[in-house]
Amino acid sequence: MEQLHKKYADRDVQCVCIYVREPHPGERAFRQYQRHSSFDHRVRYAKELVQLKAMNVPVIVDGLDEAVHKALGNLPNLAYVVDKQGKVVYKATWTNAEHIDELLSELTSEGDPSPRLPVTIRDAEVGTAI
Amino acid sequence: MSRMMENNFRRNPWGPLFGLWSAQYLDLWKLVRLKLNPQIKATYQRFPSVLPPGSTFPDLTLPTVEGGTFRTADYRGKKHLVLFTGSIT
Repeated sequence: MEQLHKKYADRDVQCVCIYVREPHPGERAFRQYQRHSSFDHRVRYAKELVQLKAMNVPVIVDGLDEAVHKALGNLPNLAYVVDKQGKVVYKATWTNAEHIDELLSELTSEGDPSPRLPVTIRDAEVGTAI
Repeated sequence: MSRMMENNFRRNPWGPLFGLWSAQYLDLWKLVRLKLNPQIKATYQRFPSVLPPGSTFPDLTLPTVEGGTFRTADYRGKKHLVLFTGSIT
């Protein structure tokens, strides 16, 4: 998604990562990450995510009640594309950069002059899904 | 666009080795329990009907990690938005 963000930065596209609950707190490779106990705790983890993944995509933080996440479907790795008119044009249970790239090239250029993202870019760059 | 719609109904991919690779960093039994959890299944089944393609995306206002405020309304008529959820684990 980082490469997607870079690719479309100057083409009227804004990528945004919504930091939500940790789906696997305390599990094998994530022993140091616990369930969020407060909003500050959540913001701290969100900042850590930005550092860990060297993210340039803006990260916004959902509240502890997960109100926004629930309104969007409550899945750990979901994605939405919303056009300039504010209409949902794409949604997925699993963030897939290739599919989004395809859609954005249609939305932005009607004849995309730049190359597609390489196939190796997968959705799991940010977070891990259940 | 029809292929995009198709993706709405796709479950999370299992990944290599039918998902067993996840056991390297996740609690395998918890993973199995999650996969079998009827509430999780219901969440996936409900997902296509939540804000389906063509519907108006709600105005969201959330804080950014830098301390600012992000409003989807600020982008209306100006930019396409790609929103995806993320977490460390």
